[in-house]
Amino acid sequence: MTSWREKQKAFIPGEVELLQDQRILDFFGKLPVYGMGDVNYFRDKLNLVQEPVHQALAIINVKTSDTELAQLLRPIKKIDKVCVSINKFLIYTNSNNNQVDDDYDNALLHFIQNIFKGRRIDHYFVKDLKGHHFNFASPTTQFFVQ
Amino acid sequence: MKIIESYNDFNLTVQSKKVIYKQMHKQGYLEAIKSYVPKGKSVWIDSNGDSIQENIIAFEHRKWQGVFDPRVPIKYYNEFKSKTMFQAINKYIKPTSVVIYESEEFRYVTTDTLCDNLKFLHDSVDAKTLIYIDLIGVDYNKLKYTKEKVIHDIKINFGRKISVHVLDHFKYLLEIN
Repeated sequence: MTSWREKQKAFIPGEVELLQDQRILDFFGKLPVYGMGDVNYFRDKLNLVQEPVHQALAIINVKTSDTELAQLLRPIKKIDKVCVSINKFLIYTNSNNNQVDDDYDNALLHFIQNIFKGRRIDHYFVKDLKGHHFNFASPTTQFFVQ
Repeated sequence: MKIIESYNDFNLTVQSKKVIYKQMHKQGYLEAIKSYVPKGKSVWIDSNGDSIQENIIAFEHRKWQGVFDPRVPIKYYNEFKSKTMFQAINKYIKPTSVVIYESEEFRYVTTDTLCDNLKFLHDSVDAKTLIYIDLIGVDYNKLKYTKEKVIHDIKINFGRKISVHVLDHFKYLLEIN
């Protein structure tokens, strides 16, 4: 079955890459990358491996609670170079939390900062994200941790 | 290699629009929604309504015009929140229900816009109105608020005027009477 990413890329003639995918490719290069989540698209493009190494890519593109997200990221929090790519529509919480930042994009950044404490994090996101940026094909909220 | 950021970077062909419309209208809850539709004429707006059925009158946004078979009787509109459109629906079609299912007007919207659109429908439609909401596709702070809080706030806003039917995890059918 053709993925939603491939279907949308086929709308444009010639060879194309989504901006968020290109960022991931540029970040990792040829060294091994431990892949978690929706990483199938990168199997032929990155040197993906099954065991944690010095680089990790986590793509969260299914419904995931905040608790599950924290658990998923815990095993890779000490890894040197990490990209966490999140479809922010698919995250949910089971309890209201007034301590969380009102701005959802900032709240997600704080969540990631809390896991990767003291690390440099480059945060990419689309403000007021609608359906125009291929987010459900490849998440546009990305954290590059070094 | 071309790097693309958004749909603004290229033009869509009719075939591409067909793929997008189909993706946006998967209609997995069609039978469940039909069970809430009363007898009589039913207006389906941006909902892939089966206008072959004589009791269904389908309205679609004009941008999708090439997507549908031109022989199928579909009415096209330019603006969803048009008082004139709904006045004409009330006066000339006199439906017993209006259905909004997987509509773009209720997708990727903030909770404020969602409530504004519900209020507009409440004030404009003289029939039972059924609106499908997938909270996954609604833009709110998902680390701060639960889906139950969002639904609770909608109920508080509309009081007895609205009933909420749970279709599935995150998926609701709102009924305005």
